[in-house]
Amino acid sequence: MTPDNAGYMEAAYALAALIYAGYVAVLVARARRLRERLARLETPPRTTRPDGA
Amino acid sequence: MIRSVSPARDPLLGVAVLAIAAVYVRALAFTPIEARQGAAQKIMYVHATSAFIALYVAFVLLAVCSLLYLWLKDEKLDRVAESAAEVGLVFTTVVLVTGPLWGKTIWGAWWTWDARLTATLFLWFLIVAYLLLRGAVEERGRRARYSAVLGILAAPLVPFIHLSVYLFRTLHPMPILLKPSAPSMPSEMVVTFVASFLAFALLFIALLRARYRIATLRDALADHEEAHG
Repeated sequence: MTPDNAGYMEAAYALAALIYAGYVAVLVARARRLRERLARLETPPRTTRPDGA
Repeated sequence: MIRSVSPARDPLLGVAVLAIAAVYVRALAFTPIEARQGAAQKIMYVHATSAFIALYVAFVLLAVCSLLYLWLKDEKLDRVAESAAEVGLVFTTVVLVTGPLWGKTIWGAWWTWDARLTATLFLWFLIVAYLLLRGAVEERGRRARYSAVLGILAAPLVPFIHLSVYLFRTLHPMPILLKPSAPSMPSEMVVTFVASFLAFALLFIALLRARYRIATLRDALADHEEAHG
């Protein structure tokens, strides 16, 4: 008789999807952070006038 | 000026996600259930394919690029090795998470300290150590050299893990596909397995590319900061 263990299969597929999706999210966040840091470095510093204008 | 595409906007990643979604549908809805093991046998299409890619693609790439780095001293090779290690670690994590769910239904135990499972866990820790080492050494040349040595040292575990089911008494089943004789599975299952392997291979390439771009961006940023104080 075929055992009824579909719950284990569903859990495995869900966990695998979660791990891969989580890693993609981590990569997206890391890439964004690095791009922002780079953009800050590439932007020339703003000069402030003594009268504040 | 350095520009990098966001991993979220990479078309290859989109194609890989669609391919995996199609494989999920095929595996869950259109592939027959194995009579003795039940639906849990379908864990194989995620577990074994992730293991194949981690062991025979990611960690082989890590070892080859590490070896070539020590010879050629090309930073690109170090970045590929680093990326392969991290993405391979993610695939191995999936193997170590999905394996116990399959094991529990077949062996009645979540985990057993047999040769294949223990060696795979050891390899996972070794790759974690590799990534920790990279984080701990600041000087780029030294970091690449040290981690290349560790990357090469991890390589012998790959054939050991593959052959462990022949060398030791183990609960883990013998290979049903990577063996000299024909696969011991019906053709529908073989097709799903091969499709799953291709979809996860595509995901591996997309993740590797995204991770490589991050490493390039990080190194460019370090160069920029060094040059401008």
